[in-house]
Amino acid sequence: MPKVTIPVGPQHPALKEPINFMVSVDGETIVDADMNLAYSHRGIEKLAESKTYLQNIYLVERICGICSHTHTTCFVQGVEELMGIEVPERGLYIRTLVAELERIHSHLLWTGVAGHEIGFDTLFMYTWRDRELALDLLEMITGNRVNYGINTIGGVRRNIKAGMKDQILKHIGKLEERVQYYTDMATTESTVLLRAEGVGHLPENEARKFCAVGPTARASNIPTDVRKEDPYAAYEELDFELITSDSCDILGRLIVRMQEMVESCKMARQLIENLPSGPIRAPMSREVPAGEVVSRYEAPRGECLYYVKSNGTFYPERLKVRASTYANWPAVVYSLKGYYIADIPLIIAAIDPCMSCTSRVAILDTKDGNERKVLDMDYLRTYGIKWYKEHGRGVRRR
Amino acid sequence: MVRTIGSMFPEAFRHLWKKRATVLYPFEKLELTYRYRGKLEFFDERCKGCKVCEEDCPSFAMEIKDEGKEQDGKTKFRRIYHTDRCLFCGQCAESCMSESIILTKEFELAESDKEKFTIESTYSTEIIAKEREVKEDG
Amino acid sequence: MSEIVNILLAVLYLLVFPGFLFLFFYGLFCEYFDRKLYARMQNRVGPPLFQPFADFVKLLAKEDIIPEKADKGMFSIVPLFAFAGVLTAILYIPIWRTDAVLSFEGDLVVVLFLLTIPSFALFFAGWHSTNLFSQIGAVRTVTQLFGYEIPFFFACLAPALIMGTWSISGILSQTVIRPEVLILLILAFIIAVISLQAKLERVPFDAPEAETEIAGGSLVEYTGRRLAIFRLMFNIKMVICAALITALFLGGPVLFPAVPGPEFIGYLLGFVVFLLKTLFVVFLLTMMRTVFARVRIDQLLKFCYGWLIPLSIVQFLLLILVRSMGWFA
Repeated sequence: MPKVTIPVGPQHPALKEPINFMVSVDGETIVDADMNLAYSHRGIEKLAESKTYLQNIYLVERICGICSHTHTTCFVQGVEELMGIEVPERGLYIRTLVAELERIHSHLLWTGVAGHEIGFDTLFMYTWRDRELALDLLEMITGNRVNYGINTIGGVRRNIKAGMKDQILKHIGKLEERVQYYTDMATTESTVLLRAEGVGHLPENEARKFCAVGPTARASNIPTDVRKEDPYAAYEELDFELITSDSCDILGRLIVRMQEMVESCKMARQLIENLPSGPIRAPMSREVPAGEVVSRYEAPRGECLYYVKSNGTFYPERLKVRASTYANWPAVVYSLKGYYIADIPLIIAAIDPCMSCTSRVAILDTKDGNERKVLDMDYLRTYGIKWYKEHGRGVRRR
Repeated sequence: MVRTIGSMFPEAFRHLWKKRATVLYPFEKLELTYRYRGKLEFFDERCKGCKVCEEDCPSFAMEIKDEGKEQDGKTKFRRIYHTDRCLFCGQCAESCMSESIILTKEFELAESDKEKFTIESTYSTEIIAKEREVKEDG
Repeated sequence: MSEIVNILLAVLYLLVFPGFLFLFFYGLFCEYFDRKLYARMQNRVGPPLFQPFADFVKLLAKEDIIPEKADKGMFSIVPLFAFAGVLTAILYIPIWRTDAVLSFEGDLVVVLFLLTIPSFALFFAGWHSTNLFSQIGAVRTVTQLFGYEIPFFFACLAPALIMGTWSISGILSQTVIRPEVLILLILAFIIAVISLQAKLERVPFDAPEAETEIAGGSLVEYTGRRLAIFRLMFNIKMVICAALITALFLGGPVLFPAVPGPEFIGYLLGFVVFLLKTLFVVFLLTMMRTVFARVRIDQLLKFCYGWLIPLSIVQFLLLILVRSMGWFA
């Protein structure tokens, strides 16, 4: 067969959300790939400017259904920093517990999706069934299975009652057992290994060059984790390991995610056993003092970044979201090259893509010519240097 | 690395005799937790007319309209609740100073008639300012 | 008078039993059985009994679209061609007694040939749809064909070699005389079931129609009644392949040990035994579908040429040895 270009997406059974890959293939081998984003632009950043901080919690929660706690925590942390609120210990612990349960359910979901992409639907059904254990806990603690709505500025909204602890420990025990089973199964089953081993290779230097984050980077042997580097919430007091793998392929990403689930179970146990007493939230005012802040958070998919700028009113002046999937796309395009058509779905799925997290800008193709303008890297760099000269380094880090 | 083939076979075979994990939804329903956030229920007699629910609602699902004074000095209010806009975050119930909003467990709210999404009621109440307090549990 | 009876009997064989009507319902039942087992092994509910039939009827009622750029003639005739091919094959396979409706020396090769037609039909269907995904699927179908067809032929010819006849009915009547020969054919049976899974294009060998990769492969442009016929054809192909394997390796409708009784009861019992044995083969196929992930097309070819073909040659050598020693002559 001659060299042809196959469009994968925006509608394709392998993709659960819209994105477009133009894949040039020679026979079955991929020689080149190109990516088009922004099929699901929702204007959330603009909308956030017209809502109060309290309302914005529920808005950013809906950026992503899987990692909704990520977005609220990241946003709330930034706002708390701006307001100078000290969140009570117990509040931070509950926040962290929900975050770790969310990580477990997100990674189990990913395992299932990866199984489905390689035609292993049984794995898909089993992991999604066992994911319900984590979801049940989340429902018990927060009231909902998704969009938990547990975060508020100054702490959390729901407390953990004494009777819940046993239930949580029981489910965590079951989850540990199941995760162990899937780890053993997926890393020894030949048909899975045939598809995952050596596929989607992303060497360490390339991963650094593309600024990959989260499990994708950790599977390429880059020890990056906001929980370790810049501990937020209660992570400073927890004992956990940073999982990396040096295999740089999809199997590595699978193993990293599996072991992270084990670590998450461990952390959830620690959190429950050392849960401090006291209030769960600090009183807060509605007005946020002027200033700007960058907040970082380790989402299940990688580092999530929020920039909040306040001008001293009820409404934020600017809210910028850099979700983790967005940082991983260049790595996908790189790791597609040289593999087979059959590997496309798995390589795309390996970063746990969430399209709704990525679309922040819509480029319109006007009919009468090339009116669109994209700011390139050089322009942004000179602009940034100029801006910092004028304003000074005003960005505070948490 | 150890390699096996068909390592899921025992697990799959065992499940032939196990009960399904699926819940046949319309016929059997799971029990919801007491913290579940469903359709709102209002206790108009407790309302103090502060309108904080309207102010805090992220999706503009709540409208409280001032309809002027009545003879006995009370203020008349008209409250419109749009269930179709509501995203069941529970912020209104949390913000409410007089605990006049409660979240029920009702979640099957699909309707074919658009009108039914709007729930209206009028009531009159005395406006009393009260300090906000921090609530612990919903 | 007897000519008319013969013609009527032929029509009955072709259209009612064991032809179209029986295969239609049994094929749909096998689809149900397959899907239900698959679901139960995944801890799900699975479809109700009439679901495949309802799907079939629903597809018949759907709009029938022929793509503008497709070759209209080929696009329409290919499903019927494949369907006719698999329907014919049942006449040579014994269902209720050791004799099939039709049989002659060499009918095994004819059945194997008829069972290859659907793969080529799928290729033509995919190629003439002129869709990018369907063309990739079509190429993969043919590539896969060269992988599994050789071990499947080898495995199916192994009983012919040891029994000394190339007719399915003949092989079966030999099996009745010396059932212990079947033990020698266990390896061939395993090879046949594995390559049958590839022939039916099911997980782990469903690369030609991989839904998540190439959106369904060859049949991506098919809708309505043509798709219904294709799907029915797949079901019937599964039944016939299972029946062929049953006849060659499991003793077909023969019950071991044989139960003495009137001929009529024997036929009925044979038919029940046949159903149970084919369902067992379907169960094996479903089991494979459940516990494996899909392999790539190059890995499939490597597997076929690296494992299945050498193993089937070993089986052949074993049988030749046995025959030359005259143990089962």
